[in-house]
Amino acid sequence: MSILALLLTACDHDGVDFFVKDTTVPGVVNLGDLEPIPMADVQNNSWVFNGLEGLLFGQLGQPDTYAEVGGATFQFKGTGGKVCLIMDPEMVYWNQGIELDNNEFLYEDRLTDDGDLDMFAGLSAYYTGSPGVDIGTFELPYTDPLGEEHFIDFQECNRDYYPSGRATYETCELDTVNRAGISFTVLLQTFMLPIDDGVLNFGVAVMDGPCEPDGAAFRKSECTIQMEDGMGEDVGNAGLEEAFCAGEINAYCEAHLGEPNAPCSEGYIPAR
Amino acid sequence: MLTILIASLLGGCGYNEEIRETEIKGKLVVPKAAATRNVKATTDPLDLSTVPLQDPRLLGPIYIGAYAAIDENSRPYPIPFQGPVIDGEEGDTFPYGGTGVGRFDFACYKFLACKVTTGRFADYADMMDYFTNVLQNPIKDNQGEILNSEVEFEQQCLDYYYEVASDNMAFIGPSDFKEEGDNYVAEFELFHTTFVPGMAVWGFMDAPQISADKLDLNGTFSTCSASGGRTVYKYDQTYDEGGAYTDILNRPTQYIDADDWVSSGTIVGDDPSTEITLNLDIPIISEQ
Repeated sequence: MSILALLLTACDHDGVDFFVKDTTVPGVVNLGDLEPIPMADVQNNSWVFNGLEGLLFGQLGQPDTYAEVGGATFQFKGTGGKVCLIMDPEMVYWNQGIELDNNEFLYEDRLTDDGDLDMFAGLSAYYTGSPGVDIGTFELPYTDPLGEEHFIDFQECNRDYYPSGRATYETCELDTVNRAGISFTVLLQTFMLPIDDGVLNFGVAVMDGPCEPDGAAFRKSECTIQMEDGMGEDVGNAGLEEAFCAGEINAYCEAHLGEPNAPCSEGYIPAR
Repeated sequence: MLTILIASLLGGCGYNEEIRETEIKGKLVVPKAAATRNVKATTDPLDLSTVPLQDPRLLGPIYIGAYAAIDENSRPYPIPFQGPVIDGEEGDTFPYGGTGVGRFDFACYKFLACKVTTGRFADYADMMDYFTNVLQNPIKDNQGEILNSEVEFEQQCLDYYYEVASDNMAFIGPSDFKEEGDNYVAEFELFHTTFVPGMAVWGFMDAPQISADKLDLNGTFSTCSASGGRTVYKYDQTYDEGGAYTDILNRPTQYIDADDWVSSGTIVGDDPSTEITLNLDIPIISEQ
């Protein structure tokens, strides 16, 4: 009898929470041309990009079918030197820590508000997708003398690590020497949409210079692009990334605990 | 009912899955000249004269691949046909499959990382003899002391690999080669290779470095990455076991240098079960 009761309780859950919500936001978008941010602006600015001309926010929903790959594309012209791309999907991700002493992460990250994009870039001539219609790759076939087909990847991103995970920024450095004025395409391929609203907001910028310029204030981090969850506007989580980067996420969570859409929850907090 | 079951089973046996991958067997012929090197004539450090010495232990790992075609024009020696050259790097040869006759194995001391090929040494004493008397670069233990005892060598290996006997030590045992006239001959098998009628099988041997003036480098190989393989952390010691680079068959010309030997290649016909013969017949005289 008690087993029956248990089973009936289990039937109470429809599992809808595990599915991404339907939205009218398109799953494949093309953001157009992006102008690289001049290095002088980067050096004069703080390393936080908010408000900087050249920073672009976008959003992605579900593709039309589950079999379809979603994502955003944009284009920029080669500068003749190194170009750094930085992309940050909403919001912030951390693992809750279980150590008590000096624990920066006592609270749980609310995972349902996080999404994940993977960034690829290369010459537009090699991109096989139709911008705004379907997502492609930078792989092109090579046919050997016996007629066998092999694929060669012309994606050119030089990055620290690949791919970064949930809600974490990615960078990509491209060398456009001898290719000034030539069109490059950047693909932000949807890996995961936030479950809570089915819309993945993100920020992206192209910098006219290397990802680690000498003497510049620019630093690659989760805080280079902030408030991407509100497309640059504060939707209640302003300061989250700043607190994350400053190692003060516990204080932020304590202050915002219980608020609607708070990015962190109590989780398991060890007894002090 | 039984009849239906048997009939369905028999029907299953007749189904052709049309899998293109297959095993291709062959015979590798290595001239004794490939196992002949000029080694230091005496142990006098001031005497840098050399004498030719033939010894099958001087045969390094031999890499064999199946390719679309052989390119006779790009180098002074035949190489596999390359795909597009991008950014000035060697083009990928896109091999259909590959194998080796001998591979790098870690023989228990960091000194031996990247210096030992399987199928070359009969036992511990044989390996010690090779390094001491042929290369004049005797094996050192992990404290840098010259190893004098094969018992100590075996004990180190048993301890290193947590074994109680040396049967599982791949770096000692029967030779890969048999002597046939002026050649050493070995059998090889290209496992799980995509069979494309008309494809070519080609290979090369990475010969060990040998000189009379840099004895401490004797026995190293250009196809071995010193930072490859497993990293060992044991008490106060940290070192890498070394291992073959991962793109040797894809970009062999990056690794071929002086004293190596390459094959002129052989074409595989329409029948993958026909055994092929691969001659390692072209010496690389200098870096080309």
